[in-house]
Amino acid sequence: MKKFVKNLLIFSTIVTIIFALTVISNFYLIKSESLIKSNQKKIIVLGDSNIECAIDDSIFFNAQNLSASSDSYYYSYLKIKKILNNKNNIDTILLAFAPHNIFDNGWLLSESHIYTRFATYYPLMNWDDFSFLFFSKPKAVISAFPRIIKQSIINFDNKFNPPIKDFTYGGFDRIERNVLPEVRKKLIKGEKMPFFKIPDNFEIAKKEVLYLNKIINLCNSKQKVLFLINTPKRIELLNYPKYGVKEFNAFYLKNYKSVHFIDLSKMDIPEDCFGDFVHLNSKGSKLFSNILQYKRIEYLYEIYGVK
Amino acid sequence: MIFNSLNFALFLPIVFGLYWFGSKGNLKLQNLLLLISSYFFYACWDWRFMFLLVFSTILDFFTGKKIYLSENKRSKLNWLLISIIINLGFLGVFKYYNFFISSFADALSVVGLNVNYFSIQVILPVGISFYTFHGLSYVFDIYKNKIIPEKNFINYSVFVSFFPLLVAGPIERATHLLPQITKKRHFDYSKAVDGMRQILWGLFKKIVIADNCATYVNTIFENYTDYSGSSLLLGAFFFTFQIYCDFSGYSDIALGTARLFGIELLKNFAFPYFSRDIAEFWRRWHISLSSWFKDYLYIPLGGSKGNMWSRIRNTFIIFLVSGFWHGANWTYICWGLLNAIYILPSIIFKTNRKNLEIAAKGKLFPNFHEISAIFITFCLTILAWIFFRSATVIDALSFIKSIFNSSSFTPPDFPGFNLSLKLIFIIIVFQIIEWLGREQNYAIAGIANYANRTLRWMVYISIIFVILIFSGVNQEFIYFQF
Repeated sequence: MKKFVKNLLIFSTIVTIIFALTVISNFYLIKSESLIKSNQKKIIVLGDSNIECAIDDSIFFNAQNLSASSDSYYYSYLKIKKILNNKNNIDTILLAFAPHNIFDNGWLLSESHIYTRFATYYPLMNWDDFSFLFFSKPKAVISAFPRIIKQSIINFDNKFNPPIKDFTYGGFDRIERNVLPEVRKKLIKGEKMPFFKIPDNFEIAKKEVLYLNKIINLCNSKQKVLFLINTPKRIELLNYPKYGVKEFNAFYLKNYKSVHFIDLSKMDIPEDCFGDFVHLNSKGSKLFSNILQYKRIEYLYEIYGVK
Repeated sequence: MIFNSLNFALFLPIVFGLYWFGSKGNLKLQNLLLLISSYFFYACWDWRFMFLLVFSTILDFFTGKKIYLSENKRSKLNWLLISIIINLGFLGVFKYYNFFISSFADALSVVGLNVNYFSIQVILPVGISFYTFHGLSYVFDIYKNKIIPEKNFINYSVFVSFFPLLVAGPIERATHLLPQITKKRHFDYSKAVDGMRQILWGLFKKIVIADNCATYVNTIFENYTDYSGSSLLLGAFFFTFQIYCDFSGYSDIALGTARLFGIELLKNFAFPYFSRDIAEFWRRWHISLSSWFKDYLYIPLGGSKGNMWSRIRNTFIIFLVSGFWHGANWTYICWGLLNAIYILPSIIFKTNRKNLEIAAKGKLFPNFHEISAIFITFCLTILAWIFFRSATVIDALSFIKSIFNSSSFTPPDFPGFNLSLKLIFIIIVFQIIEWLGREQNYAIAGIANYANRTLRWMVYISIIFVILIFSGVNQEFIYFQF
């Protein structure tokens, strides 16, 4: 019995050491990398899938879209922190800001998201960020640890065979779907919708707001211009009381009036440019990215800014 | 709590430590601990169904005693019938009620009678088919005077609910497991290491192969009308490995875990995809269920004795019941029926016991005859699995029809096809390892024979890292639904 326990401990120690070495080397590998691949980029785009599918950074070419599907402000903060701490020409940040980002819909810091993201994002965390996540969802963080090995292999492979477009930390996602008729029916029936979740109620997601505040403070301290941006949405959704546009606007005006907010949700975009209520399809992203490219952000703020 | 979860990774060492260190070799304490931990393990699924498990345990313990103490045959039979009716009654209500009532209503609607029937919305208690069969085997064996009833209720309860086998088998026999539970157990180093090794191999099968196959299988089977014949064929191929690695992986983890506690469970799989005919396949696939049906259904029906027609009848009964055991759906019945048809020639020509040993025993390579026999059996198995996986019989038939058209000669076109090539490579490597280890209890058991400890450990560490690198999206074990 003693022999078994002793051998098991030795074996576990060896595995743990190999694992720890991988975790550490991956940590430093990512730490040494820059998320901004070109000095031409001056604007960084962050947020969830709404903005991920809306801004094509090959059209709006002085921006780099690093938003990712269902990214919460926690992950956006980790990316902004790394970008602003590295040397680059970024001076403006566009951050997605919509009712579902603020009201608790139970998925932004969900266990499944932590499970799939932790291995990618831990090199961007400091102790505070890590402990925040760990004490929020300890089981999810522990379960996600083994995935670091897989992610490390991908990262090392990317290092030596750089992909044409690296989506590890997000990027523009072109979608071709059009499920508007389907989601319209679901909205009328009050059913669960694909690709998007209506907030459960208008309770503020405190952890989200905490990290939104951190982003605002960080941008202020680094003297970067931050624009909160609400990308175009379908009018049916905006008129749907449970989506909470009224409550959201009130929340903004009460808490963040000093932060620039460009509300493009009601922008006149043709119906065939939408994949669903909140995502622009490839046609829509092309149109919207051209608008961003040829009208300056400041100009859009003049027109659509919430003041 | 599933075997490949963090919860189980914490649960197992705690129970193991208490079992060997906390009990100080006291058998009563060890069995009590196994019972408490098994009930805890089960309650993690749904504590409400604990009552059903406990009731089933008390029922069979009590009826077993009554059967033994009854002085006349009539009374013995009555107690046996009480046990069978109540056990199968629960199974019927939870698993088959909705199926029977809806099938009955459908049948009536064919003759123009539309009836409103009452269906029950109830989740299937996990493991009910398994622990019901444990209990039934106990009362059957007492009835047939093979064993005497267990006096100690805790010992008997451990037999029914021992956590490694509780939710998905192997389906144990009282004659095999009860003596191990009542006998003092000593820690055996080599058995414990072997148990750990088998757990590791089970995790590899489940996490690397079954879970990765599941992603493609779900995509292809759920949208089969969208894909070419070649994609569907590949989907069926992936399901063939998903179900094998999922279930045999579970069995490996169960057997390995039990071995850590000094208990040997019945072997459930013996490299079924190297079978040279369907009869051999069924001696190597889900062995504990096949042998259960053989002992308690096939042989009482007359088995292979009697004339050809009775042999054929018995074969069809056993396969249909076996299919129906898997679930209340016509697809499982068709799957059973198809297997019965496959096996029919060997029953008629009495060749069903031709291949008792593993293929190419003692040799590295099989001969041409063996290769072709393995290949044909494997293809027949793939075809049958399509019924098992499809939602309805119509879907299964359409799926098969779509395979046999010209689109089977075009490259597969389902999402992620290029990534699936990596999985095909892993499956090929896995099959080579299985082939090389086919004369062992499980494929990597032979590592124990490597004299060099460093080499052994390097292999184990490599497997661990392969599991971590190639892990698929976590899926529940398929057989939990049965």
